[in-house]
Amino acid sequence: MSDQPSLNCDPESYDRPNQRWLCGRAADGRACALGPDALGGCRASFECRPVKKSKGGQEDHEWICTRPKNHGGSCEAGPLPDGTCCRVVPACQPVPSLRSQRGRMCLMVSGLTLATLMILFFLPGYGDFINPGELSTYHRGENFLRLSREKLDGDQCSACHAASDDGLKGWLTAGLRANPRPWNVKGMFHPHHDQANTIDRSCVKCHPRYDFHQPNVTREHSCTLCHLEHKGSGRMPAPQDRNCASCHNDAATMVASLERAKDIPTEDFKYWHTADVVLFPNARPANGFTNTFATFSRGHPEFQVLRDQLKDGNTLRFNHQRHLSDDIKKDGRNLICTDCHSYDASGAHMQRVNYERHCQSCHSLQFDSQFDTLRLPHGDAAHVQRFIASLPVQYEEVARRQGKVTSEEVSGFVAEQMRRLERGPGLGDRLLETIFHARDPSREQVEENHGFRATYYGCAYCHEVKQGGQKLPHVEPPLIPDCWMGRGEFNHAKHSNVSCQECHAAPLSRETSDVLLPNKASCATCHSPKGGVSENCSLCHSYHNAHKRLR
Amino acid sequence: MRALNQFSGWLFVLMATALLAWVYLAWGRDHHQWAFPSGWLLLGMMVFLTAYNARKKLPGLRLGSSRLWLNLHIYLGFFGVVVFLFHLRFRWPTGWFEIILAVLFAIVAVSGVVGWILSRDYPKRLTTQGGEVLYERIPIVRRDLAAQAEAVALESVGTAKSSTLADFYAAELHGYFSKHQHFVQHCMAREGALVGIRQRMQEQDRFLNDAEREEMKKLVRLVNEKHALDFQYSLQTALRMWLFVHIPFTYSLLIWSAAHVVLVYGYSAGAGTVPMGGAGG
Repeated sequence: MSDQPSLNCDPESYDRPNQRWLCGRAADGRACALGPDALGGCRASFECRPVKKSKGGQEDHEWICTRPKNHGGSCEAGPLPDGTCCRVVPACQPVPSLRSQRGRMCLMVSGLTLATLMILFFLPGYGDFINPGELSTYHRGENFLRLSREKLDGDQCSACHAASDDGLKGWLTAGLRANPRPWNVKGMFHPHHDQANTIDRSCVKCHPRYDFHQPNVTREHSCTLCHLEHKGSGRMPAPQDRNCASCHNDAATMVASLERAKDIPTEDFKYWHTADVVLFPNARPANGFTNTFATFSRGHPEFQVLRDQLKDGNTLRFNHQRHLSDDIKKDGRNLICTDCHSYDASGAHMQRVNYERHCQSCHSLQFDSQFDTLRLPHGDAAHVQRFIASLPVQYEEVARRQGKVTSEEVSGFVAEQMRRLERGPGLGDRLLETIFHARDPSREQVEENHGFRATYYGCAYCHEVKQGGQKLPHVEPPLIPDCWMGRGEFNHAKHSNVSCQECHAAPLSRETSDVLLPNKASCATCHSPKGGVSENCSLCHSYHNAHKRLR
Repeated sequence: MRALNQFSGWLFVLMATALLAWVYLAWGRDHHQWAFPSGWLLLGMMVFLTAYNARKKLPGLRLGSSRLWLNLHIYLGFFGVVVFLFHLRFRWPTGWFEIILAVLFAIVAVSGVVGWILSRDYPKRLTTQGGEVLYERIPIVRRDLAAQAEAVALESVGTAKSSTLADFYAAELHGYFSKHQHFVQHCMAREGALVGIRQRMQEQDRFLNDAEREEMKKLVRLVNEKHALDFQYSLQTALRMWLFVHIPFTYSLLIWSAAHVVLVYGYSAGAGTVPMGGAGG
């Protein structure tokens, strides 16, 4: 232990650190005995105030020095004859005590804080200052400003926050009227989700058709419950699964929805066909969508089309397995899926399969195997009928292309072809019957002219042909859905790293009625915590009825 | 008893944190309304923690012992940091207003932790070192030591018939005695400063005669006393100075928090409900 300082001072000396002012010489260890006054004024005058002491007689007295011991005790010179102390104390500049300095700093920092808030709250750009996070791209910029001025009653912030432009008083008033009230403890834990609020009112002014879900929803939902703004630029973050699960994983809510649906006409649940999108007819299940489940991988029902073993009602006869077999070649290789199926512009769906682009190169409608320029028109039975009726003219054209100039040569050529036809498939109604209804695939293929290409077998080879009125058969047009799961979204382009056959069992499908959709388990291989890919509800579903919206 | 108090305090922090974490995981994580109850809890705690300062100013009121208040202040303060993190959902805020609010909270919390560490460590060091001096009297003691050292130096001129020691005092020691020295080294418990002075005094020894050496011993004793006094001054100053950050910024934090509450409610979606058409379709 080191040597200790010698205190060497009067232990009776009493310091008052809680006083607001200290002698200016205290830091130098020479504080005067009097100390400053309450306002920080120096009270120094003399080192002591001498007292009169009687020496004997009533008139005989002397002045006695009263300087304290801790300031040196009585001085040698003693008081002056008039009773004044002989040692004048020079005035000092008192300093605030530590406690006082701390108090001053508290006041200063508090004042600075208040001033900063007041200045920033009332500056023109206060909105940027109090903005808790960047707005999504669609809710800022010139376009949004224009829309908010046209449709809403305010500019940027006040477009959604009604009290924004009302200043501090307006904020306080709005805050005290908030629902739940600031002092409503229970309301904090159980907010009124089933009530729209002032921000929702602004939302639906610009998004008027976004205020519904299924018609059997049992309670209203606030927009801001699912759609959180001020979360950064770009799109607003997708609603969280918990928003969906608050109903779809709540048995009581689902039961209530089921009960409510009983009083609602089926037509109200219809998913509307849009003008240019063909949806697979997927009827609403008897109990609607009221199964409770937690997540996609945990409890989501099997896709309805597979669960109910729905069949493709398309009348076109098509065999995927046959087309993917080794003996069918295109440009020297086997056919692959993308020869017929390619993404649309959005990448979400596949373009429709088209006869001219995808079928004709193999399945040409070559009417006469000897003349490949003679092809039946595709798509309209009446056109076919007229084509057959005009066969003499068609052969005349062929004759002229072959260099036959004179009318004798041409008419001779036509007559010869007509006789050949008569010996073969026949003419007139017989020929039409063959063309529309023949579906025998065992006819010989014309290897010498067309290689492996199939010849024309008859409309019924691919299509369903029925007897129509006025002797004209009716060829049922194929109905190929653009979208197989109308209540969900899927984007093929985002799954381009997966081969088609991992999801679609096309090589095993022989019937058109086969639905080649993957099952839920197949999707959950990736879209699950185990698979590592998001399984959010909003990845596939929209709360808002998108098809109805497009009506 | 103190260990028991500490154990109880940390047990409280631990259990309260566990309870808060459970509520957060069970409900708060999935509900953006979590910000409201957690925010009010945090604000209430901040007001209560600030009330400790008021309690110190009202010793006459029977509001519980100061020791109890101090313990509550410390352990609720630590729990307040936990509540703050849960309130923010462990994400740093992005808006300027909220960033400033978070920075203010961080300043108060960090200064509080620093003060807590100082309050636990420095009193022990001051007691172990011994020779405690009232903080307000330290200047008086320092002045006394300086006067003694100057007297020794002047006396040596007469007794030793040499000015070597006096010159050394004027060159090396006068400044040392005239003001408080080595604040940081004392706070950090580094002895380097005293070692340097002692070394220079030892180097001076070969130039001194016997009489001066006797006087030098007195100076060595005074230097040691001054070193101990500086130690007292440094640590006691540090024990007071952290409050210059902690308390003022606490008030600033409260003001900013009040503004935060006004903004949250004034701008919140819950600011009044209105009927909305077309619902449920």
